[in-house]
Amino acid sequence: MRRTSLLLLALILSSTLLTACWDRVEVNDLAYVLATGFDKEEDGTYRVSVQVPLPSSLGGAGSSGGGGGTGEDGPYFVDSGSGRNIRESNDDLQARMSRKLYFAHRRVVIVGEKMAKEGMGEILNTILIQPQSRLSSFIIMSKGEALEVLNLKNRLEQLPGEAIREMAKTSLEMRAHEVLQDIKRPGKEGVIPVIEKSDKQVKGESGQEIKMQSFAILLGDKVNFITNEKESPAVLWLHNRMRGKSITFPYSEEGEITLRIIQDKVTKDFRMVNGKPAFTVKIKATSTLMENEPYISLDDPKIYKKVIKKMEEEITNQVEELLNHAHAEGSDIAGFGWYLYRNHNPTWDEKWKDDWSAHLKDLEVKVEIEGEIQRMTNTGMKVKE
Amino acid sequence: MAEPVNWQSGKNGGEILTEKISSFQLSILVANFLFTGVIISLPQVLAESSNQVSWLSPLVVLGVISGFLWLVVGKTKQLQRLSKTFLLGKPTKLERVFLVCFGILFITAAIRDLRALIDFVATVLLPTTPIDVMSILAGFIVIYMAAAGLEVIARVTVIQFITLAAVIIALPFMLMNGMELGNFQPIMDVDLLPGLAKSSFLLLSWAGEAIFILILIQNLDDVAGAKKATVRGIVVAMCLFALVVAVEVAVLGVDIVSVSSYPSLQMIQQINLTDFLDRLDLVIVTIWIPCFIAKIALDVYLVNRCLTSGKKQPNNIIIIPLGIALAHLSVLLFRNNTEHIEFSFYTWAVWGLALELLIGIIFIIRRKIS
Repeated sequence: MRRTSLLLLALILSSTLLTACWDRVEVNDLAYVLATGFDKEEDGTYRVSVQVPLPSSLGGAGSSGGGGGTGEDGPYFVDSGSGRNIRESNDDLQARMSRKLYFAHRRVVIVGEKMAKEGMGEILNTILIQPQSRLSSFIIMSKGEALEVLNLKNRLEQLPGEAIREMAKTSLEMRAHEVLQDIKRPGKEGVIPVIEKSDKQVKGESGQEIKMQSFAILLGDKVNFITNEKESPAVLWLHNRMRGKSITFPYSEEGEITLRIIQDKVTKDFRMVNGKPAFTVKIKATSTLMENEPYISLDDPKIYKKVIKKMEEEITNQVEELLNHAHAEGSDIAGFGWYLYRNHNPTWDEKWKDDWSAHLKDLEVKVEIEGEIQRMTNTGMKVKE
Repeated sequence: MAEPVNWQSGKNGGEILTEKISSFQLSILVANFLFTGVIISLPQVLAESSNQVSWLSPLVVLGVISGFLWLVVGKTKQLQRLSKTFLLGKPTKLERVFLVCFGILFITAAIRDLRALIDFVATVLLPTTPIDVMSILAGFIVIYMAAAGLEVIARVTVIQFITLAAVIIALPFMLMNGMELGNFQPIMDVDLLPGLAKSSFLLLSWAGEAIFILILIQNLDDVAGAKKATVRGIVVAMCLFALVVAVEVAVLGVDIVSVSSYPSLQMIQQINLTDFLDRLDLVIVTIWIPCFIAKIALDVYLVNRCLTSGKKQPNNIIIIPLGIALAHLSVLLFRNNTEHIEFSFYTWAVWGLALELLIGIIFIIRRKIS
């Protein structure tokens, strides 16, 4: 009898473990957010836009899926909501969705230009606090509104969010935790890639597509300025991200030379000059010849040295232009202050901590480039015209 | 002094002492006990106190606690003699005081750990499941394991902890592409010493939980090796913890670690070897959770040993109500996870340390008397 009672009790207790889990959610009850855009409206409210793939439209030709509509515009849809803060904007958006928004797969966060210039601290804080969000999401700024950029199509990828992620990976991979660290670091400012709308370059086709070329230089959590065409490569040089990219420079009136960078390394040397800090930025760049428009013979040591000199001048101009602009605006993009904080901390605390931006304007920075062309497959052939 | 009792042939309560564990198992039990609890949230307060040198505090604590336990356990011959009489038969007054202090320490530790597990699962894995349901489920798992006995706990711990240790050792290689060594600088700064002292103090009571070995002396195959085994366990635990904190600072930076409730989880979310090996955080959590459950089971087992020491009835008679009570208390005693974190970081630093010191002193006196 006792044994039977115990067995019954065990069975009853076991049944409590068989109940459906509170947190059980079917896959088709979730709206997987791939990319989020944050904008600030004129009245100060936030607008959060999400890009959600439509699973039924993602298959190849002839496939049929269950559930969800096939969007006329493609295999994804973009929607937005507004509110007094980001969470309220998400709730506004959720009220119009049949599926629960799920942010754990969000890999791209796009901050609209207006919002970025007013400060991104709140967005980064939201990513840090929300358990679903990941600090490995890429942070990108858009020229104009983030909502407009999320709606742009990309020809090679089904989902624009995926295209933006791949472009961010080949550019400057700035993830949320890196941006947060740079904002908090004394003597260093963050940099984030900028995406913008670009007209299609194909004759007969109208429309716009995504372009990622420039960078936004931050001051604290606000965007200070956006780099121009000459300054943008310098950002990659200073962050050791030029590998795989090309540099084109004029050799003579006969044409330009293009080199692909296969290795790059940046070091900073510090010295004190008349009681003030001074730095030498040394960049070592190894490259491969990609285009030789003037058909010069690089076998000749004199010509080779001249090409290297031109390459070094080009890189020096790019880096100096960026540093001069950034320092004039008070942004320590190369992290000279961070270097002093780490290596000369007592002096940093005593002399430079409180007004480093002011010291930055007068900071002496010398740029030295050591260039090398490691490979030349074919030097090219002059075709008689 | 209590007469040595031949419990081997005894009825009912005699089965406690037929459970034997080896020195290796003791080392792993100690390492698991110390390591699995501290990696949840403690790096946050350590980074807050000592910034970029927070990874040094486990190494400081390692020396202090190893020395303390070496002193408490005493000479090998004395320990071997004591193992034949300590807590055997009817406890003396001194032994009763020892048991009371020991019981209070590990009841509080069990409640704290159960709530830590529940809060972690509720925040990260199952946000809508009520914590009462989670406490019941956690309670059942822990009761089942604790009731199975010390040998079972030891075997499970050995299997799980070795896997966890291998994963922790592999972490620097998996996160190499995200580490920035500049986050450790400035390193040699005298101004950082007060912060380091503070974070070491906060960690002391957690590492001092290794004092649990005192109640398991009779269960050791090799009593003479108990001291070395304990110190080995402490070394392994603190070195692994130092590695975890160092990697967290290198990858996330001090500012993010000091504001994250679960900085270790944030860190392992950054593992990105290729697009294929991107989301290993759930895998690593799956390896860690059994280790933590084994730790809580050992907590409950130790409390049960305290309450049934010297009694002749079956030692598992109260383990079910004990486990259920502890599971309930873990939910009732803390209003929210903030209260629990405050208790874990600040109250435990003093409360735990005071009890551990008291237990150590009582054991030394008992050792001298024998």
